[in-house]
Amino acid sequence: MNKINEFEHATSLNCETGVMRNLLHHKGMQISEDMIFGIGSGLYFIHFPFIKMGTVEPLTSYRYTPGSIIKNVSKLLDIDITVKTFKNADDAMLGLDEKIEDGTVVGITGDLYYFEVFPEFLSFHFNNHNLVVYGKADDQYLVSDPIVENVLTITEENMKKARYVKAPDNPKGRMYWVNQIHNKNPDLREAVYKGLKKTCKRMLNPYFPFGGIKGMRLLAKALKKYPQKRSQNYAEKHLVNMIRHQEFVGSGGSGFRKQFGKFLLESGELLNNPVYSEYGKEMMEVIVPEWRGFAIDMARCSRKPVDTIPEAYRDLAARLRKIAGMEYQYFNRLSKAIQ
Amino acid sequence: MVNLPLDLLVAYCYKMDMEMIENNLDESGIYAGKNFNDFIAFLKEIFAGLHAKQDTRINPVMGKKAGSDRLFIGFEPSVSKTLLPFTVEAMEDMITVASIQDTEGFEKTGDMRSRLSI
Repeated sequence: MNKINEFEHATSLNCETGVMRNLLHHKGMQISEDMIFGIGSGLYFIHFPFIKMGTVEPLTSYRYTPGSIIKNVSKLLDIDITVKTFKNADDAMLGLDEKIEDGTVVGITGDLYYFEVFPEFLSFHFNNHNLVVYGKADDQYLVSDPIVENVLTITEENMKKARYVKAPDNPKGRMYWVNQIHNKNPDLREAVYKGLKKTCKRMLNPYFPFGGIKGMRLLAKALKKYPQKRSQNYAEKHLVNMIRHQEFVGSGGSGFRKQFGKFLLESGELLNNPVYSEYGKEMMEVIVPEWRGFAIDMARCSRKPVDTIPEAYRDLAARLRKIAGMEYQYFNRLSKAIQ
Repeated sequence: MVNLPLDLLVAYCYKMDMEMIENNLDESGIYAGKNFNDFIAFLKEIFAGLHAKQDTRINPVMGKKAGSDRLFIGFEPSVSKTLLPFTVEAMEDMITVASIQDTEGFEKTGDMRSRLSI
């Protein structure tokens, strides 16, 4: 097949928000990545000690479930989007080819490692990476990954491997496309409000012990005991993975808090709402630096044998508890301020 | 071996994130023939010079050194493109960093397949 659909590549901080933004731009709606993140209620914190993220380290994440931003934004901005998964890899590939052939630009989800779109030094498995496929020439898919500067190609073989993996979080060939945007210039007031309300509710949820503020406190409690209870391999891998996800991989820095702050600042300006601006400023100037400081502390801890620095882990735990307290106050006040 | 995964070390260099480099590297290590403190001062000087020229990112490039089968990663600033005086030796697993060395004997073999935009 040789079919190249027109598509404008644009870069972003995060794959999911970047792909969504680019797909919406393709259909004539101009909206920033930060607004998509905030309206999509992307900000979160979760620590599942019994689910592994890698070989030994537990799942700790700073955002809500991959795919949720696209779902929430579509609903709140009245966007008709189709999301499809498949029973097997062959069907997934047939499905993709059909959409390209009929002129549709699609977002797909898959394993970063097999996509081979990132520079070679970034070779790790992550099954929820998103990018746009806008064409196919011979056996190569034409791809726009918003985290890299230029458009690329992916072989059919790699595309298949990436989209259907043997893992608990198998994307099952997930692909999505925008059918119609009912209003390309919507009033964002309600969408921003609902996005914020959901974020506050999730962060403050007192019933789910692994998420939001409770998740942070749970992790802090665990970190304090790492010198006594965890191996060097476990502690080091967990901290390094947390740094990776907090500061580097698609988060925009400080575990998506910077992106959230920018969303509030933009909302404040667009909607002439000083409350949003005020909370955006507080997020950027007070909470974001604390997370960055936490990342530095994690780095310092990870380079020394875990059982030799119990006081450093106590301080690390105390810092995370402090941040949990700050975010508890922040989201509590914010949830009341936006009523 | 260097106590930092390849992706993070190269990413910190790419972003010239001195704070992360300084707080992650083992203080007892030898880097590009220098002890920790000298290496940090060396990097700070290089990065300060680049910032003064409005260079905010360094692009990793691929290369080889005579006598070694391993991949070496060099660094070229986005604007000036003159190879910086240190390289990262990657282990075969592309996860572990074998060493941080100088550029003696380094030959660039090509650019990375893509460039990050973050």
